[in-house]
Amino acid sequence: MRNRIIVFALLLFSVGSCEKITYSVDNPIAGLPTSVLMHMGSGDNPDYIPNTLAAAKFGLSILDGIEHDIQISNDGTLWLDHDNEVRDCDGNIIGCFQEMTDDEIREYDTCNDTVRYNTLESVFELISSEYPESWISLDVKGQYCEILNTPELMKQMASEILRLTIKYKREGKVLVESSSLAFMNELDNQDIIGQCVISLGDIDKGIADATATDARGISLKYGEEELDADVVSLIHKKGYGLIVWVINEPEDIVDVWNSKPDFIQTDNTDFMKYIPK
Amino acid sequence: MNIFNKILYIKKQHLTLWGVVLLLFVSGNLNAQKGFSLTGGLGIYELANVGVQWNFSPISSLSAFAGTNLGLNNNTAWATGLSFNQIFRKPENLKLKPGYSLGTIFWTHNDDLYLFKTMTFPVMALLEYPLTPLLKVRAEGGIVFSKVLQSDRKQNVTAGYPERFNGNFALKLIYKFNRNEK
Repeated sequence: MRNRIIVFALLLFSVGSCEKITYSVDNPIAGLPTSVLMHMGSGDNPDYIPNTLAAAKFGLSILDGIEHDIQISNDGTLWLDHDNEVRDCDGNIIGCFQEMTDDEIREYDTCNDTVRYNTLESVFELISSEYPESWISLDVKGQYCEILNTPELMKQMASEILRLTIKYKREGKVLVESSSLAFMNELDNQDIIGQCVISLGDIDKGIADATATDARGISLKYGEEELDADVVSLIHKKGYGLIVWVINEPEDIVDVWNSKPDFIQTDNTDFMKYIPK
Repeated sequence: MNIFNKILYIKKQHLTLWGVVLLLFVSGNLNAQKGFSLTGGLGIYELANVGVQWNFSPISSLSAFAGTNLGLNNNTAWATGLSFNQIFRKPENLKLKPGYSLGTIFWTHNDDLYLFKTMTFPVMALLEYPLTPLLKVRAEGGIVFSKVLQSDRKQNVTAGYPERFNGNFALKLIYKFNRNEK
């Protein structure tokens, strides 16, 4: 009899616990009027090196804001670049950002009088002085050269972005995009930066990740899953903002614009020509 | 595929076949049903399931099962899985034997909201108790890691997603075909 009771209790436990699927609770937000950000500062404009101060100036002059990829040096300074490696003028790898001091990076920052490596602070200075209404979104790359130190470096990056945001009074105008848990956790208890978790196309995974990391938004790669105004409404209903990247083709520009996300990133310097009147 | 690669491929297939046969002989369980058990049970991820267990040594076994939720709770769910199990012989004075199980489960969940196809990897501790010489009951509890293979949302009203890390619990009855098997 005792055995039967135990078996029955275990059966009840097995049926009543550990839901396999979690449904997000509603926490509706209004969403923002759609802003367009120039990807890598200058998009596909061949006159600029992407992720530089010059590229940022160009992007800020024609759209609502810019997107940049960032790296961290051994001195804790944030630099603009897509790749984790610092290269010389011939393209040879010299080292990784996080292993090199600022002075070492500066030795390689100019080729043929063109600056290739700029600090994020220089862009914050520019925005603060000339484009105070503009947005900046920072794609926080994984620091794979020192993979064992990655969580610590990601926390350091989060702290440095917060410091720059406060120093240049950019509260409410800075977005960050990351899939690093350490980075997102560091931004848990603040309300000056919009931290967005990266989703490589799966919107439901994006919502689940945003819930798990206490993110404010989702940075969504476009094209994997259908995106329309109802889907964006669902994301807003769950309490998250939405950045969609990278929208370049005229028909995609129309579709995504009509879906009313909060931010669109583009490489297309003629983006505004294609948006519906 | 050129002729050289074809020969290598055929040889490789033969080697695999002979390897399996050798494994069966070494385990001494090639005789009909000597080392096999029938299983049936309930589990969070395993659902209501039936399967077969190959007891290839006194402590180790491999299980395969297929399960369904029988259409309950307004959804249709299926599961199929494999697991490697070991039951420790000690303590000898106790009938209740501890062990562990590692495996993989492919499961689907289909309702008005979503279709999910997911791979789940359970790491389970288990307790086994003989009810009769041929029948054992096994309770398994542990954690699972899940990777979603496909998620199709059928509406834009709510959003859900399978838990990546979760608890799991299962109960299983194991019926041994051979009374003489240890």
